[in-house]
Amino acid sequence: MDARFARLMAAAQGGDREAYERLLRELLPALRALVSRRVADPSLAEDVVQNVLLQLHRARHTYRPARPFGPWLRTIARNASIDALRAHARRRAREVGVTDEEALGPAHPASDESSRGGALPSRLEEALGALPASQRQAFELLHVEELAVREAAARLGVSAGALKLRAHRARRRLRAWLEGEWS
Amino acid sequence: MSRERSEDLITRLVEDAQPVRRLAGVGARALAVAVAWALLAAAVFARPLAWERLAAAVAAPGVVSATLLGLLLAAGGGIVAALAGSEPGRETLERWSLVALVLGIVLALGAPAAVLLADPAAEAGPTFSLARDARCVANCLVFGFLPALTALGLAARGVSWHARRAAMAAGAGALALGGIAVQLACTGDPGLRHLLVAHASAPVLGALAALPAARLLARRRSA
Repeated sequence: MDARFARLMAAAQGGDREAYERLLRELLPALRALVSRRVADPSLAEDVVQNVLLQLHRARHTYRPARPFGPWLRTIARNASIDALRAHARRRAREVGVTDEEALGPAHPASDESSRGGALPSRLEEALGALPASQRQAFELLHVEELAVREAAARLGVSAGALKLRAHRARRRLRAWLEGEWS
Repeated sequence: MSRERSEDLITRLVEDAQPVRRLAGVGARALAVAVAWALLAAAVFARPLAWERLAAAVAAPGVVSATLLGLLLAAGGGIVAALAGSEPGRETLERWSLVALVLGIVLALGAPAAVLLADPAAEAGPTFSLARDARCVANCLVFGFLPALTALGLAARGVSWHARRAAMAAGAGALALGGIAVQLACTGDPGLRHLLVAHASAPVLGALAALPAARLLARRRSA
């Protein structure tokens, strides 16, 4: 199996898309099994699998056919999984932080400024919701999920330039909205 | 937010798949770093002093030989660790290279330090000269700069999951090469304190100086 994967990857490095597609599709069940051993939540596990696929794609030039395929794949799968789980933990921590602030709001009578701060996240969500879907997705992938540009672009199936433009427009609209809120 | 199925992601990745230039092996890349160093070190080896120093170190093993051996070990270990760390699946080589790097640094610094601690009167070199120390440290940087750039550039061609570790290893290895050149080129009797401060400490200096390059390696990975 290892030799077969090695052959397919060598062909994929030369630009053989058919071989590459066969390789990725054959690897997918193994990656899912590998990830599900560490991640119980199926939706999170699928996110991790996708991150592994993206990293594998990005690192495909580092495979040398003279070396065994298994250790190469396992290293990428392990590190990409760790990256994805860390990003997820960071997002969770931020979400928990926001929830705490909202929960503490009424119990802590505060100045106008801090009470406005407490209301901000839900209104920010409102503002995000008002953005066109394409801009909101670009903004969320880059600034909430903190994906790299290429990774986010691959998820949405657009070029990196188009993604940056959408995120830029989203930021401009949000900035304008925030300035309006605080003025 | 819309979730994409992994099968659809595969379709997109396949559409994006262009032919790629394969990463060269660790040995070939390490050789390129050695060549970058040799281009500069040729000026040192063109002088008889370097060969005399080398012959003396081999003929009468002592503190200087131990320091040279330590720098050599640190150079090889650091460069190979940085390059192996950028190639998935080469963790064992990376781990052993890091061991060699640490042992090399301990040997290079430990040999003169141990002698000085045991017998402070052993310092037979010239009196304390900050200018001389600074000159040799600067020369370590000069001789190590091109190998460091080469090592970092070649590491950046791969995928460094531990960017900080890779950058520090590359810097330590490259400046250890610089330390070797300086050790062989330093005129007069350098003395143990000077050897310790201005030559043997080069890998540590290199590791610290290369730390900012970790961001470059990390950015390359997520670009």
